[in-house]
Amino acid sequence: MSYLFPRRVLRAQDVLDPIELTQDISPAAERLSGRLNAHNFNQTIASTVPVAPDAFYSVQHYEYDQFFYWVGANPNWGNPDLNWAPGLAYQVQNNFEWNVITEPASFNSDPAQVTISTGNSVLWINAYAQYLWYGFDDPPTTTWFPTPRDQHAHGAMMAPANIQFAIRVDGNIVPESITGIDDMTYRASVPIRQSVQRTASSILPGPADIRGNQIVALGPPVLPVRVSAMVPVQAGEHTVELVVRRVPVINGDSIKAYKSTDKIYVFGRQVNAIDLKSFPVDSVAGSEVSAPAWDEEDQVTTSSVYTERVQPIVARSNAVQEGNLSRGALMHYHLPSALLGAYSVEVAFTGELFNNTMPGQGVTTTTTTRYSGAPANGWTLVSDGGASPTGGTLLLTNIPATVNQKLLVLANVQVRNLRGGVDASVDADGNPNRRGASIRSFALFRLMWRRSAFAPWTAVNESDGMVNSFVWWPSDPSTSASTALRVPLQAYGLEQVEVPLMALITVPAGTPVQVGMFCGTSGQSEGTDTEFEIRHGNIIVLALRA
Amino acid sequence: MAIITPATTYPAGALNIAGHNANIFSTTAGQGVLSEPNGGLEQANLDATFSVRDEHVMSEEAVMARAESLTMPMDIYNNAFAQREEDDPAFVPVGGLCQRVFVPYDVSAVVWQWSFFVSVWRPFVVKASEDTLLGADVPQVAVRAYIDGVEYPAFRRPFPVSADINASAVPLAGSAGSQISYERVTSLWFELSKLQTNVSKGYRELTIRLFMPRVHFNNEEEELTVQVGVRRFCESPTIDGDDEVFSTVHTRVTLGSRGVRFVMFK
Repeated sequence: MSYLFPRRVLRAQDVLDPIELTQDISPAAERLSGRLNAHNFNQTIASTVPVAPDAFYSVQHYEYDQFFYWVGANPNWGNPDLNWAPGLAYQVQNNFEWNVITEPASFNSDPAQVTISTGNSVLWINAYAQYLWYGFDDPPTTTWFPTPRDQHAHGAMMAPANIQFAIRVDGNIVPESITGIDDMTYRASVPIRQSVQRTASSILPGPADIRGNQIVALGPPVLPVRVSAMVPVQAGEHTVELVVRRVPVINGDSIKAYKSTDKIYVFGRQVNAIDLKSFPVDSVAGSEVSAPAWDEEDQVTTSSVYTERVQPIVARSNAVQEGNLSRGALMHYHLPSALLGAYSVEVAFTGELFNNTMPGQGVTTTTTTRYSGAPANGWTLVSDGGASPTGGTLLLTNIPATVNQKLLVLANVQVRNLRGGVDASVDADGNPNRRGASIRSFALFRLMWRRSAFAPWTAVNESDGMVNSFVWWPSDPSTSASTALRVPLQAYGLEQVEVPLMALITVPAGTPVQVGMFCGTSGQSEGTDTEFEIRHGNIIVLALRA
Repeated sequence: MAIITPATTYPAGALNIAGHNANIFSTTAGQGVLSEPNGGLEQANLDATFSVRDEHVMSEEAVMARAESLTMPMDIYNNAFAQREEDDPAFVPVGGLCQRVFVPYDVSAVVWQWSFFVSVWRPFVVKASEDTLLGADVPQVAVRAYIDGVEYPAFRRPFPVSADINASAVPLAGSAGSQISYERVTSLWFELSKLQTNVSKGYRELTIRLFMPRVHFNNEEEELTVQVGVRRFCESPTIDGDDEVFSTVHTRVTLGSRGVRFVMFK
């Protein structure tokens, strides 16, 4: 109840009317019995009032991690090895139906989903998955020369993986989370237009354009994907799933028939749903204060006035319980920050080169050598060593952890010019090798955290992401002796691929923590070292109450 | 001092009128069961076991979320935009990737998220003789993120190269203007997040803006043109397949599902 004022001021020689005596006291009791609202609390409580961990939001999280297996060994891992994927990773069905990603049967086939009970809320959903189209280890020819189109068993050089992920809530796909275009036939014109409009006397007059290809889904054969959505929901239990489908590839006027060996697998995956509460269900038991009404001829005594009526109100006013507040009693000025902290670092790199090899996905060995003639072995922080004017390293330090918390980490980098090294050698026929056109170079990324600068890093395995050199310029490289015509002109950037990672890290109370984004390569590509550049990146850490 | 102390405990004898009145309502701090809770309840008034529970919090007073999205595909060609004389690149807001939100009070943190499916036709163009590279260029196609009109460099995103064009007068192979597109291999999903802390009350606006200038090979004055076989434009048996027509090279961005999300934390 809002402000209350007495109906009267008792004066000497007034008749003690039982109704007036009741009206002196009972409104105070009535207000304390679940009607305290925003007008009753001083704003100073914002800095001191304890908050239940789920007062503002509640978090549900699912994760499953699965490493890649490789045909080689550290440090030259080579290509991903198909033989290990069945039974460990999730095989995407080639039937154009949305399927929830499930764990292997040995893990009870648990789906990539969370269930969450809410009131009227908005669900903030973030989900992550890493997919890989197998075929790098089984190309049609043992060597991809003389045609660089033979680097992948299923033609990933020119054919798209055509994968779509989406978030599904209570059985309904969230349309804006589909990583593509829902119309599977969509294609757009090649933007080369005749400079002069053909006239009526021309053959086939009128506008003309070059028909483009189907462009409806993710194209690269190896890609980490993060999707998010905000979905208003009604009160009840809700199921949030990460689903995937493979769109049929349309070549010309026909649909490509997938071979039985044409397999795409999903590796690490996560689903995170945060219930941003609007009208939560009741969570607090009622609490009332009694001040009985006066009746005629009731005696005015210490017991009847003070002990039975005034004292309970005073006592409760001095020890307000959760049930004394009305729904929605507290406004923003009564509340502390909804987060325990929020931290970020943003870097516009100047084109940092990396060629360090990853020591293994289950290994947390790190190196500070990002690029050298002989590649260092170990994960390295995405960094320019401090040279960038806007930051320098995708690392957040001194994140306080004085209480238990959950760190929601959202990280991005843009990778370009992923490639094997330039090779000036010639093949057995005397033709220059064409290493610049390889799609079999791999860069890997992951999030790790630790307590201090001297503590060992802890890997967030489910955050592992990998991309390949899917832009294989030039597609038909010259056999000229001119290096400029045989290798990509790196200044222009090639892949420009987005690597979005995510993690939910449960941090018990203790010393401050650090969170960083690391990277590495899979080692040699086509006999030469793999390298890549990073131009832009950032990390966000939201410290959620837990 | 918000702890309420009774002015009288109503001892036996004559009623303490002033004490009774003070017990009900008083302008003195720490007195009055009606007056003290009139905005005066402080931490000292809360039970030791009290903590804020979800139903205590008024809707959108601690967290607030907004989202905008489009799923209709949109093809954007670079000649959709007027050419500008000055050097300042014309970054144009993209439909479905902009959001304007009113922040109703000062907040400690805001997270902007934007995501989009994009398929780009962005050629790598070379001009070369048999063994000599005469020149190479890639037209610019990129997006940038602006919040309240301020651009944030860490969120610049150029798009991948997705085609080759041989624009040589003396072609290396095939006809002049031969082009190979692997656009559908380079179709990507971008999902980015930007944190702002200590955001004050007022309207806030995120705009993702696209830059697609005309294609001027290595800053040549004229737009890039190539000769293209007529059959590329029309699969008609009645036209001579050897005919070539001068054609202008453009770029294209095709957007699929796209959206912007905003969540703020008090």
